[in-house]
Amino acid sequence: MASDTLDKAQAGDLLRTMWRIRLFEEAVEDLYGRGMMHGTMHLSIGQEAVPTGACVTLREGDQITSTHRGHGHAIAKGADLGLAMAELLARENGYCKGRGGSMHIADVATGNLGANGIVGGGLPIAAGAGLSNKMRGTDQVCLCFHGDGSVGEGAWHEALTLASMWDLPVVFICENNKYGMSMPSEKAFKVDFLSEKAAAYGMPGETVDGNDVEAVAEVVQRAVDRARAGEGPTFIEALTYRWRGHSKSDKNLYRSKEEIAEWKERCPIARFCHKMLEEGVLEQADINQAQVDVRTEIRAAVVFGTQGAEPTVEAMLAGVYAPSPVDYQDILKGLN
Amino acid sequence: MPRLPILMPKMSMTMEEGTVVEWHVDPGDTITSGDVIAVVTTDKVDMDVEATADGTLTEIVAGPDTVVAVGEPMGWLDSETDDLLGDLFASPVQQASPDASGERVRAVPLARRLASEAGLDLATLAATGPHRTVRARDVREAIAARAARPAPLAAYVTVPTVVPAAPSVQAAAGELLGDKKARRMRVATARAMVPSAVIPQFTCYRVLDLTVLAAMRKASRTSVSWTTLLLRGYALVLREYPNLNGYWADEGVKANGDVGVSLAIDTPTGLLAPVILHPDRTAVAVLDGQVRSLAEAVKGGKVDPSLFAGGTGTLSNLGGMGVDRFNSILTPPQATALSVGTVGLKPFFDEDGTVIGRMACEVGLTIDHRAADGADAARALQTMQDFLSDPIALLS
Amino acid sequence: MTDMRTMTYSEAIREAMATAMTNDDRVFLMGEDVGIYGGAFGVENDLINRFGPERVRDSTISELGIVGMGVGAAITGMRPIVEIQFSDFTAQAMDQIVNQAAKLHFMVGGQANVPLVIRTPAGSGTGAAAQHSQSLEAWFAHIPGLKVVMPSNATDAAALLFAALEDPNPVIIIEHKLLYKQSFQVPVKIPKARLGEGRIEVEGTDLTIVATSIEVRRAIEAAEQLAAEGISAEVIDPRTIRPLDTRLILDSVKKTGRALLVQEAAKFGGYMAEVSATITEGDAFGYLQAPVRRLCGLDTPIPYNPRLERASVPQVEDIVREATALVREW
Repeated sequence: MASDTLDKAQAGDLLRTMWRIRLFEEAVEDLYGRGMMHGTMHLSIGQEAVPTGACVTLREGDQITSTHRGHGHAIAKGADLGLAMAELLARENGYCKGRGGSMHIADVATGNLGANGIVGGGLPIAAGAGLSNKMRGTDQVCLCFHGDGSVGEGAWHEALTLASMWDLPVVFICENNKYGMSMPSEKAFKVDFLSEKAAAYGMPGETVDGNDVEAVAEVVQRAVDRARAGEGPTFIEALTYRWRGHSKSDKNLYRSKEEIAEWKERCPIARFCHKMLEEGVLEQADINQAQVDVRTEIRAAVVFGTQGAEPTVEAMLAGVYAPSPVDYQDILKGLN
Repeated sequence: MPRLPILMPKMSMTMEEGTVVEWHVDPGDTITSGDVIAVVTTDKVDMDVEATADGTLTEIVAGPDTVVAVGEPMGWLDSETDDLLGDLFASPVQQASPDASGERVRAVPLARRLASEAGLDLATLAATGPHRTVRARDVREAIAARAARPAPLAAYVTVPTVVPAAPSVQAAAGELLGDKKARRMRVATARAMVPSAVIPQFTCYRVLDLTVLAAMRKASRTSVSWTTLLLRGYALVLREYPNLNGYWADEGVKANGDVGVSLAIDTPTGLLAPVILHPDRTAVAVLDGQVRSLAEAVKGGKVDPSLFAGGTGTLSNLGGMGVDRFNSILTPPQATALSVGTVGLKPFFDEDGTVIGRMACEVGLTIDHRAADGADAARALQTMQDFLSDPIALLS
Repeated sequence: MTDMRTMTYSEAIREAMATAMTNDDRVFLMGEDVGIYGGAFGVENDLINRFGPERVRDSTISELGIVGMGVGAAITGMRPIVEIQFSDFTAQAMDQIVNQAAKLHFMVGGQANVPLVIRTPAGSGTGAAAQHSQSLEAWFAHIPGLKVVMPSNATDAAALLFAALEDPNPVIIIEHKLLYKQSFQVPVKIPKARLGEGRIEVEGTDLTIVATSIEVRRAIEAAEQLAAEGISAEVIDPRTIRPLDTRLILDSVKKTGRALLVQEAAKFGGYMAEVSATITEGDAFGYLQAPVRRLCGLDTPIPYNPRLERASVPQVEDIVREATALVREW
């Protein structure tokens, strides 16, 4: 999807998606600051273009796996903002009934197989989904979002090895935001670009400007098409940056204010707006309207989320195991 | 046949426990006193353990490498030999009423359940398990033994028919007085009475006017003893005041279903208090017969241990021996005790100040202050007086 | 009269997998050396010839990867059986077993099930020493969201595999290496087993022996010897470690009043501590006439020397000795 083929509607969708992610994260930050949100939050402000560009290439039925910094992935994959907010507010009408929270947000029915609190946890799962797609003979594809930090995990190595060995329909998208928590990826990895590692696994590797939503979409589309055609996995490194710390307890001691400021200049949303204006795809009014509309959506989502009920212990305990057919038989017997 | 424990002997000043090394005999073997039956080690020294009685080894509870504290059983022996002190630690004191002493008996859960169901007091059972724990089989054996009505417990209740004169020989300083059986009696009495010392108790005295009853006795053809009549009066009071008939159980007074009066009887070897059950309901003539035959049986020496169960109060009568008034102490867990002094003519003042004689008896009603107060005692004594002044009420 | 045939524990597992794969396209097996090699213990044998390399899938040595792939496949409509070659290697895969498989259903609020089966052989006696001989059921028994079974005979190995495949939750089947080559009488039609249901192997009145895996076999043998000595032992195989058939065990202990709990795994922090607590906390307490005793492996890594190895885990004579002492002392 090159920029000269973007029409107003498509551009509007991309912009709204990125705004949704941006404003959702800002709302979360605000709620957290007010003491209304529990735990910690891993915000993806500044990284909006990667999931937006990646997910626009997907069809219905395609899957994604996500990370602990997964709000953006979920929203780009089409999550209901209200259900997502309710989950973050730990309500029982949230996506996960208040049991998973930020790090385990999922919308399995629409293919979001879940955020993951374990670094690298989603990689083998994505490979497994790819295997499943292949064995079932569908042409579903699984996007595996992961960060530069997870490249240090054995799970990353094993997932790429297995996906490559079996030519699985998986696209490994590495959001390299320059830091695995406080470890700079430039220090951690002796290669210039993480995409160089792909060759070691016998799969194509490409590095892309992660803050250019159109560029991301183009690269991912190619990889998705490859996978869908049965040609196996691809590794994509998307260079981006997170404006906020790793989590709420991050004092940002490992990076400089200048660096943060510099990257803020490269804001993906600002860049896209600028480009769309220049190319005449969007008017300023469209851009403003998009922001206003999304703002309304986010506010409604917060209201929805705060109105949810508190989950109960009984419901929680009943949620540890899925009832088996044998259990159902017992229930039926009990009813008779 | 009585079971005797083979105890880990204390073989040195500082020894507190020993480890069994080996047994030289097996269950079923006959043993003679003095045989070396096992080897134990303590402080790295092996020592021989000798049998202290003749009999048959029935059970080994501590096998090789088991550590046993001094004085705890290593095994069990069936033996006819008189166990001098054993029954003091294994046998019951008097009654099977609820255990209010506060001492916990070690017993396995099943033993507790079986004992509770059978109405047995765990404290009265032999404890043959490790660490002196009552095992289930101990309870089962006690149940079977009870059903088979065994011979009365040795020594404690067997009183010699020939009454030895009180010893007039000067005993040496520090020497234990009395023969074995008498000593056992004293120890048992002491064991029963010492817990009474921590119970807060007081005695209220009242001179009971027996004029009406005296006239009745004179007019009647049947002679009923004063003890019987006072016993009857006491029993009716106990029935009237359930809190006095009950027993203190930490959070309150628990009721006893029936009235049972322990009648303190002096015997040549000491005090015994067999129980007369429901004297509030028995016909007085029958009651009188019970009192007489009980006294004879006890003094004669043959008493069934089950006669000591079920007392909810005690009546002691020292009036026949010239005591005017006294305050017997409570026999735990009973809440009252009635002390009866001499029955006879006592001086009273009539309306114009003239001294007249009336048949009377001064009684002391000792009460467990946890269960009742002074006013309760006063009320009870008034009720007793009321009953004794109303023969129809007393005797029906 | 049920038709029986003689087959080994490993044959029964193989046939059960074959039946499952024949009847359900979603079932497939993934593991190390399960294809052309035929399985490290010969369990798979010629399965790959019958079902092909797609259904009987050889993996690289990537326990974490293949269990994770099992999770991914399970949540997207497949019914994978993942084999971990030695249960000691589950350590490599712990994140995917404990943090992912066990918790996904819960964490996503029921949006997905993880119908994953993990099969793995445990146990000592082959001289494979410390890192290839452990019994780690306590690790998995501890995790809410997992189910764990330990078949002690060929029939159960097959029946519990079927039950596990039918269950929408992740199930870990811990087999025993020494049982693989043992022959059993197996009904031609494998009876339906329920997860969470144990079985009384031997009826008795003097004590209840609860045992797992190979210790069930040893306990049955011990019961015969005990009977000759006049001690009547009841032997219970819980079959499922989690969820435990508490009722079966409590009723038995209420009857006998004594419990001897036998496992091959090391004693401290082991599974039988859980069973012991269950007994004393349960309604069997008032019927106990003896302390609940455990007979377990020694608290040591399994040693190489064969005599030491044998002495490290409960043998038949140990069960006889402990049962006798328990009944005589109490």
